Amino acid sequence: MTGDRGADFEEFAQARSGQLLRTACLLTGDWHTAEDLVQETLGKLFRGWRRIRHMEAPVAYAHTTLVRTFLSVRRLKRSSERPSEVLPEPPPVVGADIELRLTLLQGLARLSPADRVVLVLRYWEDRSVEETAEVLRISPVAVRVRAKRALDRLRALLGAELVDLGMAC
Amino acid sequence: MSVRADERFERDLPDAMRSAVAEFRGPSPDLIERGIRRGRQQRRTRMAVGATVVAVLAVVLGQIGGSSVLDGAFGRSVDEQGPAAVAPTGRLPLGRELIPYLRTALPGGGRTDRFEPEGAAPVPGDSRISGTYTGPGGSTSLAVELTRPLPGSVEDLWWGAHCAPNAPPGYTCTRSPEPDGGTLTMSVGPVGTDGQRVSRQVVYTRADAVQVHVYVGAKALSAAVALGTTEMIAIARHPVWTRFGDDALPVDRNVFVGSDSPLPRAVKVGPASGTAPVTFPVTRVGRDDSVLTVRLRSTTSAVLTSCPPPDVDFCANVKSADGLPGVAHQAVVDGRVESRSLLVLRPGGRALYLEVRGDPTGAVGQPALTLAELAEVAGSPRWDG
Repeated sequence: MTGDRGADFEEFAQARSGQLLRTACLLTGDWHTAEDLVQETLGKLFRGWRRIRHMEAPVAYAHTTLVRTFLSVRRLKRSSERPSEVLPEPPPVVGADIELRLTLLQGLARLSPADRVVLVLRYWEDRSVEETAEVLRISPVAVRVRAKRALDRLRALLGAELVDLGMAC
Repeated sequence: MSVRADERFERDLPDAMRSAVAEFRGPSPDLIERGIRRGRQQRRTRMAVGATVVAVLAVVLGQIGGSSVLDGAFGRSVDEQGPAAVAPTGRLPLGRELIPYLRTALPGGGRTDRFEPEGAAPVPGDSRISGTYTGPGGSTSLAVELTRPLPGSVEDLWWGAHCAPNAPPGYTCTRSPEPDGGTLTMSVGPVGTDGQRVSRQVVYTRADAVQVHVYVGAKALSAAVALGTTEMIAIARHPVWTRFGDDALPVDRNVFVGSDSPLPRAVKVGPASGTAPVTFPVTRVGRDDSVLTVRLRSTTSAVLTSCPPPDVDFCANVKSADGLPGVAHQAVVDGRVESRSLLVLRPGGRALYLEVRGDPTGAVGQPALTLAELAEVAGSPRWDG
């Protein structure tokens, strides 16, 4: 990569790495794994930077690349996660004992990767149903169904209220 | 839980996510440098692999005597030869293997660009590719997928082959039987600002339960309609896909013979048809004459016996008579129970699917077996042979 393009990419990466890392945190639930994911994503963006820098929305492309890389779990070196549609869901947590309640990240981590991605795209990145469908390469109807299911599961894990769920990452 | 509590949860989720990452550490100082180093490393690896592949193919093509020109992707060189006519196989094509078959199924005069396999598929063994199709009418995004969900499983009920009971506004869905014993499901999204439908999907479920999904949209790349519903149906029903068959296990045609048959004594069973699946005519006084279908398949995925969210009223998690988890489905049309089915995971990685379907012209409107009786049948150790 020539000097100008290299500097151009570094500037882009500096500006976006924080937000990419936040998204990665929500997806992975762990700071180290999130960094690995962002590192892998930056590598892909760097390889294709000649083309990406001229795109209409390189930032959106970067986040899409992050999400798709996350779904390709095999590429994460330190990830011990195994994709599974069925997770042993604990009984719903009720009551006001905050110490016993799962954090939001712990709750997200108990969802399947596909369910987690839909919630992060829809509620963290505020993408529309159609945009989410494009990223995941599924139909908008499937996005709505998956989002509803994921919300139901998350609510069952965290209880009805989303306050004081602690912080992580 | 009340609807208002649901809405509050959904409304509060974005803020909760922001709070969860508000005080995070931030990236390491060397993260970007590591990313660049990773990109350079991947670039070097890709070039080395590409050179090796070109060398190998040159030798292979030289031996065949062909003169195919490699155009970057494998798809072009395979396409020149076309997919070979072979006997049906139980193995689905994966990734780029789908491309030559898709090109055969596409309407004449069109071309495909930048087709890529999907990432990690929802269910291992399924295959999907997506890319851009350009035809005489314009360009559009196109995705095609082959699946083989177990009938009655979540994948069968929720990924396009059935119409969801609570479709959002603007979406329409129809599901209709086909003369060949299959079904055709068409779902259409709302109209976008350009006057075209945001998305369309066709799922053709063959009689052997293999499904071909064709999805067009959501981003139309030109105002004209590149692929209409008629063309999408033609792609889904193209004979090229018949190469890929079901992978059902053979069923003992004598499974209901003998005094210890798992069927209720009141049910009379006729001679079997087929081997995988097998169908049995069943009759019973006071019920409609029915057909009982038995399908066995190897599987290791426990996800297949989960029901969709609780607002779906036609599915229930059940247990077989010997306590194994399963999912039951009942289809009611105009007050008639059209069919009942049960999917149970037997030991040894076998999924058992039972479906009883009543004669649509029967006077009673009830198939010959109840769901409880299907659960009894599914609990027999005869299926573990």
